[in-house]
Amino acid sequence: MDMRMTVPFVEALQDIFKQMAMIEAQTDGEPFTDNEEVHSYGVSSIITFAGKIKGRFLIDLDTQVALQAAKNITGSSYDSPKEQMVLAVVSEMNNIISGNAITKLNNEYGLSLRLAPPIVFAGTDVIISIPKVASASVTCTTAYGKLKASVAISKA
Amino acid sequence: MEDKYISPFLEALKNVIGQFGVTDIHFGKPERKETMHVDTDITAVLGLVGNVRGNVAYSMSSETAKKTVSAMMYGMPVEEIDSIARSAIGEMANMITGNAISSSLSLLLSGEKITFDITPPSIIFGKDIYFIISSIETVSVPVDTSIGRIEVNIGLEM
Repeated sequence: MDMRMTVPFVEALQDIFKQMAMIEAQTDGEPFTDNEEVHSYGVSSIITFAGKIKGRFLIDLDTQVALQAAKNITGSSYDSPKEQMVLAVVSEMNNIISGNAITKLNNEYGLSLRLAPPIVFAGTDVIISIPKVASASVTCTTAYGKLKASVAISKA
Repeated sequence: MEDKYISPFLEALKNVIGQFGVTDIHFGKPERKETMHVDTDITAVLGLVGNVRGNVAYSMSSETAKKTVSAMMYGMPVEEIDSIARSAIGEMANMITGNAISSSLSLLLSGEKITFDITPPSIIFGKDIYFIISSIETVSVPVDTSIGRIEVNIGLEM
């Protein structure tokens, strides 16, 4: 997969986390090819898209990062990532991040991509797998824990 | 979301798994919810974009998943959910959703040309998972079959 595809997503992720949630996310390094199976850190959100190519964008947050983001955005504290408001915050953040990134990709490469609504989930020992599609991931460090951005593209 | 948009998915499920030789397919009562709680092991979820937009998720136990994959491969025994089995489950989700949209749902929306794309399926494993697949509402229908229960969750925005 072309590692350049990760750039707009990671930039949008850093922007939105800073602007909306007041969380600075520092990338740990270059994008790397991830396994077919991704072990969730705690709370994950997937947005899939289709157009001239198809793919999915995943953000994966340590539980503490998700709880802190929800707290900073809504002003209330939450105990569990399974609370609806925490899931809704992560889902909406991913929606905005992916919207920004997709717009850039469409403008730059004319891919005519459209987004499906976000999916968000939290559970115990969660593994996410997207069959037959390679993904490129970037891990980031924040003051509250780790987060991961992962992009997988398949030909339409 | 109106009830009439749900039955195409159920009929498609019946068609597709019926072709694999699964019998005794009974639909349970649809339930509407904001958050979906899954206590089975495996969920295959895929998205729709176009003038039908949303997500559809199919949840089942790993036992049911193994039996489904085995049925898809003409009875070949399936010991574990490996990458081939995952791919098969994703493919089943693709077939059901594609079937639902192209056959029945397009009739319901007659007069309007349906243009849509199905996005790649993601397979999610784990226990005790809370999902939100639609910001509006999710309709969940349990389907009992000869190989166990498959839960169909539909979140469409239209």
